[in-house]
Amino acid sequence: MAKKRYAMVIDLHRCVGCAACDIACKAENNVPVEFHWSNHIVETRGTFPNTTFRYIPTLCNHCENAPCVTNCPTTAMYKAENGMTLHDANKCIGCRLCQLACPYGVIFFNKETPHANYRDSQAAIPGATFSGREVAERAGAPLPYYNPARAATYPGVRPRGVVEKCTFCDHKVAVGEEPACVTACPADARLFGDLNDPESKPAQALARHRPRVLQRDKGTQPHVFYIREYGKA
Amino acid sequence: METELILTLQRGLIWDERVVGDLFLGGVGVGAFLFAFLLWRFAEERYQPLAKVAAVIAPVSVSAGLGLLFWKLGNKLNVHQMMLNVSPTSVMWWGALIQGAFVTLSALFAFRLLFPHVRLPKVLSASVTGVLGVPFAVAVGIYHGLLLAVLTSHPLWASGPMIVTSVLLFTVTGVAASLLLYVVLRSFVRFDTGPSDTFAQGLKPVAWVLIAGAALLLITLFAWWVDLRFGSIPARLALQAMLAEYGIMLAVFGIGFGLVLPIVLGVLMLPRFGDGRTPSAALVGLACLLLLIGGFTIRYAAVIGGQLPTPLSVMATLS
Ligand code: SF4
Ligand code: SF4
Repeated sequence: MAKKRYAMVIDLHRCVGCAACDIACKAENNVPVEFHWSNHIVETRGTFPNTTFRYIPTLCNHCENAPCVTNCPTTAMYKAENGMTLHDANKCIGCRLCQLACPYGVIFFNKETPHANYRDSQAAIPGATFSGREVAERAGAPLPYYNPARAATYPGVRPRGVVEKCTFCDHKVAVGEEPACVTACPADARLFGDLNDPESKPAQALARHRPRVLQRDKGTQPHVFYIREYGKA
Repeated sequence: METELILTLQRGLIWDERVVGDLFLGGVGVGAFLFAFLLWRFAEERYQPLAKVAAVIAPVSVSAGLGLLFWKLGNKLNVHQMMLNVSPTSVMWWGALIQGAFVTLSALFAFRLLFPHVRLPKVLSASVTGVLGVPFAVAVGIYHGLLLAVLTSHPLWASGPMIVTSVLLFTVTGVAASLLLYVVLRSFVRFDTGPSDTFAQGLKPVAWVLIAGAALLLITLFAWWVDLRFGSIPARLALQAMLAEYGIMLAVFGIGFGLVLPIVLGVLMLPRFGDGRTPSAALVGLACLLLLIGGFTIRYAAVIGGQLPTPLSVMATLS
């Protein structure tokens, strides 16, 4: 059987710019508030009433020719057999070369122990609300929305001193599910699957529509493709 | 209204002053080693104290730079992973190997120069460690340029002149640091290898190397500017951003005080090398100090200025 080559297609015409993908990603992968594995670019043009608005969801492009991988001195950042760009936190030395090499700004560095807000004893409104620490303690987890399933293939919460990024929810894909951002999208704008399977949703979408990628000139050969245009039929 | 773009990225510098320090000190060490080797191999006896000073600078400076880089690592306890995992596509991985070998060889070379009478196996002689150290020194110098030049997401770094600048910087700063330290030491320590007043007379070729190196650096910086100014849109924007933030610093300390003034001082001093006359040690020291300040400023502007955020108009390009 041919090797899998996972990819995602984002249909900008279907996208409504609700950012449900961003929130689902945070909850699924225990991503700190200030990090954005799933992110978006917002563009506003023109002067009222002649204005246009564009919303481009972004994430790690799981590039075929990934500079984060080629530059990593420890092979902590690596290409999996199935085309995903993954990160082994146990090998990472925190040199941040991958962050410098990635043109898309999708890698985040844990300068401090993450989720500081859930170790803070200061209540948001003293005498009226819990402090972050109390909330985490009552939830019995490092953070109230902690998802233990994430820890199947990557540390549930990444430690201080290492980088982290989107993994295409490899832990879900491994058990036959789709990435959290795909499942959460209320507009079915995200299609995930194996590009080597002509019947897969992304392969079919790419056969029908002209695919575009971010910063094509960088030569990274992204595996996240964009079809159609936000707000245009 | 103009186009407004929003994308929330992680803030702050990725590589800070510690990396600037690593690259600067690495360059100084490599240049000092090559200078020491050439003096030891080809210069008269009266220049051997200078060769010793330069030889000691080499491993100390490169190790100090590596120390800064180590300090910068987020997960220091994992550093052994670089040795456990082979990553031949990574310039940094090669850099770790090459620098490790260089520090060992240059430390042995310095030891042999300082203690020639200590009995050691022949394979650890100054000739063997020196000759083996030369290609590693050149490789470390090129590595420092290549480390940045391969990061094509940073147009300021991904250019040919960046590598040339690195090579020229190690030549100039290595020699300047050795001479400066020697001049300073000479005011405290008496080197008994001949009359010290005739010492500077023979340094005319070294003065030429420094003047030519500084002049070539000026030309390379100009080539770097042309490359970016007339390059792709991201390159132009990156240059603009860097100059807006660090342009004055680069012009004043990197080019004015750091290259042009030492060249002028060097040219003025040239006739004083020879004919029984010597240039003032203070003036030689000052020219060297200025070159070091210039070298550090250029590294600083390139490393820190090269990381200014990519314009969102570039990041949002779909094609
Ligand atoms: S988007 Fe960045 S982090 Fe993801 S594979 Fe490409 S270069 Fe690496
Ligand atoms: S920070 Fe970690 S993953 Fe990134 S290049 Fe360094 S070792 Fe590799």
